[in-house]
Amino acid sequence: MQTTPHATWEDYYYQYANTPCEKIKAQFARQKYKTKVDSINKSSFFKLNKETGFTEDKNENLTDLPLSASTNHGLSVTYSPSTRGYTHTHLDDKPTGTYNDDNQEIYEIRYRIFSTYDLNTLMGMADFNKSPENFGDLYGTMLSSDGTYVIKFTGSTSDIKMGFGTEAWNKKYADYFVENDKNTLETNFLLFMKNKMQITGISLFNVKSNGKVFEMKLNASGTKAESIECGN
Amino acid sequence: MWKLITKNIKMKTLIKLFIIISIYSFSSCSAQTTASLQQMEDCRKRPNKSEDCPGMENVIYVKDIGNRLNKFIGTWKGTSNGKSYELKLEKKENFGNNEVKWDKLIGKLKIKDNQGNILFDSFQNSEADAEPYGYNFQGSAYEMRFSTNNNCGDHGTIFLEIKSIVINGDKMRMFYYPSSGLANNNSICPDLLPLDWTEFTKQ
Repeated sequence: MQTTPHATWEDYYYQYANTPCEKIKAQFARQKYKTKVDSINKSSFFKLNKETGFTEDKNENLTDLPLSASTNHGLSVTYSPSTRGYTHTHLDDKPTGTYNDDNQEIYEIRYRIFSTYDLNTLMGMADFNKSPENFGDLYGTMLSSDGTYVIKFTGSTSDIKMGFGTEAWNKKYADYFVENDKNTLETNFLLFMKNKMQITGISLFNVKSNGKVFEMKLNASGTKAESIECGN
Repeated sequence: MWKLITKNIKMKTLIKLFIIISIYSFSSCSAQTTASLQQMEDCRKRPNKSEDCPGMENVIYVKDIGNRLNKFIGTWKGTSNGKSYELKLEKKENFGNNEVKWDKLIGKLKIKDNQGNILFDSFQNSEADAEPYGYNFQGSAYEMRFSTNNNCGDHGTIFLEIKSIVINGDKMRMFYYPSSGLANNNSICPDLLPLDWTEFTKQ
């Protein structure tokens, strides 16, 4: 750590405490938020027919999210300039109740990582906070049986891109995960965002159950996600 | 003495041969570029999706080894709940827009009500925009994603199966699982496809 004799508390704050990693640690340290997360971050919620979630505003007020008006099992995320972030579950693979000829139950298979709709929502929130640029607190969080992930907007105003909340993008995204299923969820998420959506302003983080936060980034050759513990 | 020298030479040749075979096997194993549909089905079932499928790192082509898809190719017709269905299935090889190419089925589907009105028609869609669009097997059932692209946002999965004990080879069965699950009470957007196994006949 380099220190300067004239460094102020603000200098320290913006250099260290204002990083996405520290923001995520602070997010999960807010008691009201953490209590709410703990109440839905469990198997019984991942097995429901519908997702569960809520938004947090900049004054730490929490609001439950309603189900989407369409026939999807997803949630309708309403956000405003005062929204700090959203948190929601992604569901387990769903048994259809129908069996194949081998007497095996057929499943609806799901990929538990942020959807194109989720990315679009974070971009929309960033759009509300671009004048003046104030993106540091914004987040999207996904809770699932494959882990807890957070996306942060880490770009600048020119990196805000919208229009991904469509069925056309949803299909491309689903095809990508199925066809490249040999890769990890994190790798496919980062590759799709970079190569197909050409998004550069969103970063992915994994929050472990012990509270440790890891940033997931593509490796130097741009082929696989690698995990870097925050603070290292 | 001569016998001993000959034995040594034979032994050395055998060792060389063994090393060559071992290197070849190892390199072909570690550089597997083609996987079968079955291998990818197993890969999809792995419990931890934060890990790659072991040994699949270099795979760029998922091949229909054993031609499991061929029996589905053709035009099929069926009826259910006052609707009639015409489904044309085609097999594409080394297909897709993503890094890994697949052998898969793509379909053209026409749905009519009992008055003959067309409720859905993808016969004019391009191959890249095919509906339904094949993914992979779950056991003997083949999975295809399906989206109506209508205002309801209705999308889900079609499953197709030709029974392994073939009594009549021209029969296939199909059901649809909407992504909303089965509790869809939306009367504005009624389910277009059968929600239980429904028999289709090859034309």
